[in-house]
Order: sequence, then C-alpha cells, then structure tokens
Amino acid sequence: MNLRKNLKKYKHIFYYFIPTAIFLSITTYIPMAQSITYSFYNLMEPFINIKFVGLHNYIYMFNRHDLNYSLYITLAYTIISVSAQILLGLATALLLNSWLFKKRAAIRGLFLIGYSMPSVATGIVFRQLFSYGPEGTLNNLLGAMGFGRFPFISDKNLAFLTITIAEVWKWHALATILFLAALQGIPKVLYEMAEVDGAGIIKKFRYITLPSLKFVLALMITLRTTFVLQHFDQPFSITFGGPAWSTTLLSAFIYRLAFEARDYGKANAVGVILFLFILIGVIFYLFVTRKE
Amino acid sequence: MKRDLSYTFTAYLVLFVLIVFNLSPIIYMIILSFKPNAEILRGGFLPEQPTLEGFISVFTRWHMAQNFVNSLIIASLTCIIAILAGIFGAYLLGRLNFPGKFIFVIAIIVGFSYPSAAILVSVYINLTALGLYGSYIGQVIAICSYELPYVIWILKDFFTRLPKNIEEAAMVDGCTHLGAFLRVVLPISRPAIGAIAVLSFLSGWRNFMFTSILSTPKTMPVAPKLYHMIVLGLNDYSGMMAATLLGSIPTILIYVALQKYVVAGLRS
Amino acid sequence: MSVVKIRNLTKYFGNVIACDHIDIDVKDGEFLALLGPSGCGKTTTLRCIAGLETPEEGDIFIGDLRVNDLEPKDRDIAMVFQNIALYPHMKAFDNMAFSLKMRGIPKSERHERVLDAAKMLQIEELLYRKPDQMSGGQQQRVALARAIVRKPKLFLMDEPLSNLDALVRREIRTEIKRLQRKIGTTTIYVTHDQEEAMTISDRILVMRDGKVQQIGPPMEIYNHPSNKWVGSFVGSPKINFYEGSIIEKKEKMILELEWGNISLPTNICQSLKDNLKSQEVVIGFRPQIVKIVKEGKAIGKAEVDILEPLGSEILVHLKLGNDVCRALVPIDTMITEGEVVGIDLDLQRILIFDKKTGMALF
Repeated sequence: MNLRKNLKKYKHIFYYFIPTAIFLSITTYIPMAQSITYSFYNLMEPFINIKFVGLHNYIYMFNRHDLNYSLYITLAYTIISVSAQILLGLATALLLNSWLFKKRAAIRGLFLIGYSMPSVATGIVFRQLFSYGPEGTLNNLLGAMGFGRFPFISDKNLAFLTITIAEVWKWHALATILFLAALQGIPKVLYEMAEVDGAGIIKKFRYITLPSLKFVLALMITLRTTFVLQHFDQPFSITFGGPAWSTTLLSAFIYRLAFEARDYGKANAVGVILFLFILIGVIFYLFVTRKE
Repeated sequence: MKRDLSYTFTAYLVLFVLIVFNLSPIIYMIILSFKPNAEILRGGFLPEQPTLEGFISVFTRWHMAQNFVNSLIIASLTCIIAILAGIFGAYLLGRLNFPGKFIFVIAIIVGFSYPSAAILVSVYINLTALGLYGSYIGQVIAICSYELPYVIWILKDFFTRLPKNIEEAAMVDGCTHLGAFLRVVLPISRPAIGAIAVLSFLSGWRNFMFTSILSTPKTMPVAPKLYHMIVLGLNDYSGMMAATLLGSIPTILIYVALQKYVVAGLRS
Repeated sequence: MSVVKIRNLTKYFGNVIACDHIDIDVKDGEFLALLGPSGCGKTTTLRCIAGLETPEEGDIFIGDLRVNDLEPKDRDIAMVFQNIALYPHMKAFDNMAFSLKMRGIPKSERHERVLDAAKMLQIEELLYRKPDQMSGGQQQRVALARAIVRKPKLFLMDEPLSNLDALVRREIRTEIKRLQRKIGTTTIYVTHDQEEAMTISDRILVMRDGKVQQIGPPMEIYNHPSNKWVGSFVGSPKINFYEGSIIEKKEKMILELEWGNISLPTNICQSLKDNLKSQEVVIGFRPQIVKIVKEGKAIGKAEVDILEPLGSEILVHLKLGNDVCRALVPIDTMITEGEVVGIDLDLQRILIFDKKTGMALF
C-alpha cells in the first residue's frame, strides 16, 4: 500500500533518474564494480588461469616492497606538496590582498596560466627544464653558475624533489585564488576596530585573518589531499615513474602494474586500497563542508 | 616614511619573485619552441636565430594535425555527454526530494572518488571486448567515468538556488513535471550549463591517463601524443616545446579569459 | 452549489499531521481566506487542492469532478505564489501567454486575452519587460494577470503579498478584492495576517494545527469567535482574557473576577444557561469595548502603565488584576501614566469561554 502510493507520488522522478542511472552505470558504476571484482581474481595476461583468489592479491601486494614504497612516497608527496601549496598560496593571497596591488585580476590571471595547462604539458616542460643532458635548461644555468649539474630526474631522491616542486608550482595558484576570495570577504571594519584597540600586524593576523580563513583552510586541506593522492599525469610525464619504480606514485603504480606488468587483478587490488584512502579524504571534506 | 618605502619595496620584490617562479617554466617553453634544436643543445638563453622549425616539425615530422582534430572531437563529445547526463543527475540531486535520495548522494560521491587508474583497467577490458578499443566514443566514455559524477556534483548547487515554485507555477500553467523542467528550468540554467560545457570540454582536452591507453595512433589526442614524443626519444626538443605550447593554448586562453567565472565557480 | 468540496482531507509529513480530517465547502464565486499561524496547515490544504501535494486521505472536488487523481494542469486552476515565481527568462507578455500556449490556444486569441488581463491590472507598459526589470509589486501584478488570463474555475493564492513591503501590500490587496468582484471567480486565499483576511474576504476559515477552528464571514469571526484561541488570533489590538467564576444568585448570574464582579445582562444569562458546563470560565473583551471612567460607576480599578498614541486613538496598557489589560480610547482622552482609573465594559460585546475547553459559551 505504501509502496504503491509512493510510486504514484514520485513517478515523475523516473524521467530524471533513468537517463542518469543509465549514463552513470555505463561510464562509472559498472566499471567500478568490475574493478572491485577483478581485484579478487587472478587476472593477468596471457589470461590462462583466471580464477577467484579471494584476498590473495591484497596480501601479495601488501607484502611487496615496491607497493609499500609507493605508498610511502605517495603519502610523503601528498603531505609535503599539499602543505607547500597551501602555504605558498596563502602567502601569495595575503600579498595580493594588501592595498598595494590594484591590478589583482591581471596578476591572478598570470598565475593561472600554469594551473590551466594540461598536466602532461607542464610535466613535459618540467622534464625538459630539469633534464640532465645538454638540453636541460636548469642544469645549464647551474653549470654556468659553477654549481655543476644535477641528475634531477635520474636520481631517486632528486626526482622526488623535482616532482614535488612541480606539483607545488602547478597547483598553488588554486590555493591563491581561493584564499584571495576568502580574504576579500573579510569586512575591513574588523581590521579598523582592531587598530583602534591597538593591535599590530601579527595580532591582526592571528585574531581576525586566521579565524576567518579556517573554513577555506580546512576545505583546501581535505580537498587537495584527496586529489593529490590520485595525481598521475604530471609526475608521470616528468619521471615516467622514476628510476625503476622509485617515483611511481600510487596511481602510476596501478597504471604500470596493469599496462606494463599486465597484471590486472593486482592492479585493481591496489586500486581498491587507494580508493579507501580517498574515501577517508572525502569523508573529511564532507564533514568540513557540512556545517556550511 | 622610510618604513613605508622599504615595506613597499619588499612587497614588490616578493611579488616579482613569485611571478618569476610562476611564469619562468612557461616563458621558457615559449622561448624553446622558437629555438632551433642545435641551439637548444648548446645552451644559452634567448634564441640567436629564432625559427619556426619546431612548429613546422609538429605538423610535418610528428603529424600532429590529426591529433589536434582528435582532441577537438573527444573534448566536444565529452562536453555534450557531460551536459546531457549532467543536467538530469544534477537536477535530481539538487532540486528533487525522494525517499532514498541519500543513497544517490553517496553514490555520486563514490563515483568521483574511485581512482581513475583502476577504472581504466575495467574500461580497457570492456572496450576491447566490445570492439570499441581505439574509438573516440570509447575514450569519451572513459573520461566521463569521473567527469559525469563531478559535473553532477558541481551543478546540483545551482539547481538548488533557482527560484522556488517555478516548476509548480509551470505545472499549474499546463506542463507536466518534465515539461516544466525542459521549458522553464533549463532555459534559466543556461549560464551554469555554459560553464559546465567549458569545464568538461577542457577536461576532455586535457585527459591523458585514459586516452593514452585507449587510443590508437589514428585516434590519439594531443595529450598522450606529447608523452609519446618524449618516449620515442628523438630529441626534437624544439618540436616538443612547440607541440606543448600549441596543445596548451586552448586551455590557457579559456581559463585566463574566463577568470571571473572560474573563480566564481570555484567559490561554490 | 459549491464549486470546491473537500471531505476528510488528511495529510502527514512524516509523523506530523498537517491536515487533520478537514471538511470545507467553498461557495461559487466567493472569496475564502484560509487564516492561521505558520504551520497550521493552510498552505498544505491549498497545495492539496492544487495537486502539488498528495493527501493521505480525503476527497477533493472541483466543480463536480473528483480531482484527486488529476495533475495540477488538468484541474482548471490558476495559482499565485508567495515568491511570485514568474519565469525569469521570459518577458511579462510571454509569462502570461505561457499557459495559453500550453493549451494550444491560437496566437491571436492569446494576444487578445493577455492584453485584456494586462488592462485589468494596469500593467500594459510592463508587458515587454522581464521580471528582473520590475519591482516586487509590479511582478506580483504580472503574476495575478498570468492567473486571470486562464479564466479558470478556481484561483488559489498562497500568501501572495507576504514578500511585498507594507505600502504596496495595501494597494494590491485592494486591487485583488476589486478584481475578484469584477471577474467573479472563486478564490481561496491563504494568509497568516488576520487584518488582511478580515478586509479582503467574504468568509474566513481559521485553522490551527491542521484543524478547522471556525468558518464564517469576517465580522462573525470577530464578534463571535468559536473558541478562546480564535478570539485571540483575530482582532487587533489583542483581546483581553481574565479567568473568573459564574455564580448564580436568584435569577441573575454574576461573573466573579479577581478585580471586580460583573452582573451579566439577561440575554447573555439565557444563552449561558444552556451551555454552561462548569462554573470556571474565562471572559474575553476586546480593547475597543473597554471604557475608562474617571468618576462614577466602574467594574474595577486599574493603574495606567503605558500609553501608546496610535494616531486617532491611544492604546492604554493597564495593570488590571494580575495581568495587563489593553484599552483603546479616543486620542483626546485625558489620561496619564501612573494614574488610577476605573474600568467599565460594554456588556453586550463581551465573550465568555469555558475555562477548560476554551469553547465559546454563547
């Protein structure tokens, strides 16, 4: 009785639900379900022994040094670059927000160029700039200044540094824009009142600016963490995964496991693991934005 | 007085450093694309003999005209499908209420949270099985795996903010619910839909992960082609920089020109 | 003949009952106001009539047709919303023509009908403007025109004036009444503003917590509220209530109050005798019937607390008994704050309610 009444009441919903469900199933949910399923199977070329193996893929991957290393550097990459992006973005926004700069929009536009380019493109530019050979611009500069040449891309640690710098470079503009917008939303009156009360620059920052930015800050941290965890295009274009697998972030790890090692089962297992990490980030994001 | 001066000076200095930091890779990309390869290998800063050698090789040696066309096709298709599917889903999420809506919200969130790299595997297997490997539509379907939930999520807030009762007014005036949606809600949503069109077009243009695996040389768009240029290791640096520049122009132009809207969109 | 009949209308939102077995008969051509505080169910009732909500139980008839299963577009109604709800992307002309277009009415006739409606609401010069180029009052006029262009059987209006500022509200209120008289279409009008309901409608239906409290012409509701709550909801300034007991002494009935005794007139006594269930009652009297006497006979004494000059009258707040009593006196009355004065009442216009049930006793 209840169901029939509800169906009648909501029957117009189907017109919207059905196209959406069809599209989304085809593009997203069916592949997703398949991915999770494959993670429980032994699925690799040349496809001779496909069988259900339960958690075998997961256990196998967890015991592998290269996955653990990939996890480790992905986390390090994420934490370092997200912090740097946010700090740099905040600093830039504070600078641009001060009364000195009227042409804010133009400057902001300039900063957006790197952000807007396809990640592969910026990756390739960085690869070119940081290259070791005679075409490497940065090394040429350092060499001319007497510092010698550095294997930015072929050395395990320098490569990590390179992709991290590239990550911060590309994405800090986003932080700048959001912080700038938030800063411009703080009523000037608050600062004036603080000045009357005798507050200096540091106090004003601590008691007015920072609290007003709390929301955007939390938003940025959760959002960026969630996205950076998955980043692939730019780091991969710079190092191709690093010397051997040493700068292969998680997404790249899955990609290479699937299309170089051709082991689809294990690749999806890693995928599910990454998914769980991302979900944590998303939950935080929802928690932060729920209040608004 | 003196404090003001040094304060202003430091501020401008810092800004200058930031701008240099931000723009130098790009400026260098531009410079390198106009330098002949021989010069690039020699080092130095500005091109002594600026040339269009790089740009020419993009089309003659690398045959990238086809790649640009492919990018255009894929980006356009992504745009169209994202809008078609997006408006229904966003309206559902943003405006309609029904039992079980919460599940749908969760589903969308999960939809854009699942790592693309893993979805890539499934899509690859599916497309190969369906004989769609290497097709345009195959790549678009793959891109939409994250683009659709994303578009729905962004657009839903817009629909929530539309004037209340507007569908009801249309229904009393003689439309069915769907009629009200098509005749009244959509026409007033044009600006938001326009924004989504641009965003999804750019998303399709930029995609690398899916298109690198799911395309054949004939259907490969610009982004994976750039990657392949390095992998092939032919040391045509000038060509590569020129190609990178050309491939980035649509995105740069649109983003910088529509800055205002980008910021407004990001703010929500 | 009733043009709208509602039987046993019941609607829940989750566990909250919005409409509680409501019965209404709307007469042909009348202007009926649904009046009540927020959340009383008046808007829900209207929306059920419109077909925008589905009731759990009950039948709705428009004309002789049971419309429960009909879509809003098939019920031959026109609606005006609180937030106006004009189509922002269309000019006023197209807004008004939209419903006609939906029904397949040919262009020339559409044109004619839109112009007629525009003339009636004096909005001809607004016809080619878009909603964002008009003020709130103008927009609502266009919304009204959009409704009348349809020539439906029934107008439904959901607090159409609530979002407008006070001056514009008064103007359009009068226009709505004038319009309805001229066109003669049955109108159901939802409002929480009792003054609005009193001035504009032929009958008022007062609702509270999903139940119908009283239905009748405005003056009847004002002069003979069916219960204490209706008495306090309708009428401004607010009615005064005091608890008391009825004592029967020989042939007469005396109402004993804390601050005085009232000897009830014969006609009231007779009605009371039939209905009196207990001796504990509440008297209600409106500020308008309170007389301030300086000398001579008075029922009780009160101290003047605050004086509020209201233009042609003064609203006097008096400390009477252990409560505040409000009195409305002419502006030229000599009275000062702190003064102790006598209170007298126009006994023919007092109201008496049962203390426990709140129901009117005559």
